[in-house]
Amino acid sequence: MASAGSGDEKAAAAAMITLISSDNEKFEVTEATATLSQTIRHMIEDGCTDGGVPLPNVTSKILARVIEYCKKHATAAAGEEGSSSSFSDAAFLEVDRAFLEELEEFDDAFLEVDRATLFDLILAANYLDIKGLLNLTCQKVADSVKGKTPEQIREMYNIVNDLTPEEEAEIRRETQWAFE
Amino acid sequence: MEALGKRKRAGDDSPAGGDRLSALPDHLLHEIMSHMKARQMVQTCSLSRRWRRLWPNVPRLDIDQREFPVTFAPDRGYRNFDDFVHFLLAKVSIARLDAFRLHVHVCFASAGPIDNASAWLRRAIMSSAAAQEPPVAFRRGGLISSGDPYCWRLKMLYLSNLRDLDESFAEHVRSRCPSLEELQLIGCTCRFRAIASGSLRSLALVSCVGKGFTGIATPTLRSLVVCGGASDDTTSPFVVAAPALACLSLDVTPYNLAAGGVSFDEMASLARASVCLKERGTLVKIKQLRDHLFTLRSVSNVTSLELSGFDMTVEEAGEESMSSFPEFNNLRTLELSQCGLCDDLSRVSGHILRNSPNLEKLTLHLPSCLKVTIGEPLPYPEFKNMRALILHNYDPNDDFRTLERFLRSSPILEKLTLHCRKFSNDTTKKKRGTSKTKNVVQDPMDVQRENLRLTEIIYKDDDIGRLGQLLDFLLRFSRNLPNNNLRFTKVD
Repeated sequence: MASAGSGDEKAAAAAMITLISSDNEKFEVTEATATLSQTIRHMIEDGCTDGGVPLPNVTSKILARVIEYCKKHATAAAGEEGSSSSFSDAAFLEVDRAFLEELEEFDDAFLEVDRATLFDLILAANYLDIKGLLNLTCQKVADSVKGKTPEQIREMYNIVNDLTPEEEAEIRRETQWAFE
Repeated sequence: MEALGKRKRAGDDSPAGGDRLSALPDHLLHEIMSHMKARQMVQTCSLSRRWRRLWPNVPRLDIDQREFPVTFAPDRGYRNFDDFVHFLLAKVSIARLDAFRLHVHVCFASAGPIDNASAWLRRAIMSSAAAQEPPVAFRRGGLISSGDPYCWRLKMLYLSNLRDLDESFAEHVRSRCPSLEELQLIGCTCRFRAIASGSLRSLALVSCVGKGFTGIATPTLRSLVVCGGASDDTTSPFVVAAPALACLSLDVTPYNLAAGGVSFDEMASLARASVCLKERGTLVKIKQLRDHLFTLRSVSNVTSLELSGFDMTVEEAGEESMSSFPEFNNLRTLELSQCGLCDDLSRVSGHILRNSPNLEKLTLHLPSCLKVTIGEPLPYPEFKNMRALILHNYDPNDDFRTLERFLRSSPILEKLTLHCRKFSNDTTKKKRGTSKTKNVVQDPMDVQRENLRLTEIIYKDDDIGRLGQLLDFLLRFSRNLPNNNLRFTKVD
């Protein structure tokens, strides 16, 4: 928690950015939080963030979640940078370890969402180019089908099987080695 | 189940909620598939037409034999896996992957006369070397570097239990993998002389067998792990030319790549190092200790250091003159385990502490039998900056003298953590304990620790008497009690 506190203080001194969701809701975030998104980082670098950054592909509901993720992980990134460049706070390094565990717990809890939200998060992470969030959400989908048969996966995700029996037989022939 | 699927296919065009998954663009489906292991990933081709032709263009491939059921006839199981990988690599070219991982069972290689897993890789290398045209540019914009049509675009390569990585592999890594950043070899047999790369940032050699493997030369390397394994040459040093190294983890056994010592280039940016000497008894016998002390000199400018197994006298280490012992002037964080009590300048650990004037955090795993020199202060200057002290395997039976000596040496200590070993009920120990009770700090007033904010005592069993004594003792050391949190935690 100590590192989270110091991160917030550092952030308070930093520049603020306004993000505008598709339904016109405004979110004030620190630059450190916003630049976890490569898309926004590039906008800031190009100096076109005055008057806010419109994000027409992201609803306020999803943007709020994305910002929640970025806030948490921006603190972590700041902590990491600090610890690799200088060990001035070395005496409390074990706090960092605890913070990493906390971060993992945060991620797990963060992913406790319904499928629709999960897909919205994937699309937002893709659009905003937030690598960590994209990884996290895609991993969640991949994990959800682990060990499941194609039929079970279709059920889970409402996938309509539009393959003809002939095509199915062909696939089985082509990739028999994957199903054996 | 089959019936249900058929019903869906026949009638209902838009099931409740719709198919959000299949609606994702190709590159996001590939992203999701990249998190699956190969077999599961390929199976998605039978979900629907949308999925049928997606898998051969996946950017990351993770082939893992553990995905295949272990059969009672391993021969047959291995043959199926062999077929699987053969077909897979015929469809997916390693050359255009971002990441490739291949994990085979430990005994897969020995199941046949040749190591098939190594052969797959060798063939892939040969076929890209023979390619006349650059492989079709991958559609996610990742164009193969236009200069060299034979290059792989791999960023990460992880190989486990390949028993025949030869010169052609090393040569390929050196000259045809210009983007490779991470290489991890686990349980592999390295039949090449060296790993050289102009791009590699992270290299791990875990449980690898070196056959004529003598060194590493990568100017970009930031992180190196060498752990376990064996080598056919345990006398000459393993040569590491990695001037940009920031993080080093070295496990030395009498048999592995590091056995004959490791010779490093100057590493100006090395920040963290961990050196662990295993089977020290054997190392002593074969007189390699001096070489490993030399490793200490190579890492002496780190800020964070973890050492294990350096429980030896300076004499044992073959160090004749103390003055040549390395100085650790940048060192802030130090962890010592199996290094003795560190309170004696005839020992290597004592020298390390004496030569680390700027320590901020010290973690000590205390040895089981202590020979504490009564009342003497530690034979080196105070730790002016020491803010945190963590003692593992702390024995409350030693009447706090170890603790007292460290407290005396740490004037601005803020945090103290004691992981107590099990309080001993052994009568001989108790006797020893009572006989020494008289030697508890005579005058605690001159060792007040005003900065102490947090004291944690982690113990295993209740001995109210002992804990009470320990508390008494600690209270005498901290003047600003209201600000010093004392926390007792019991663990199993």
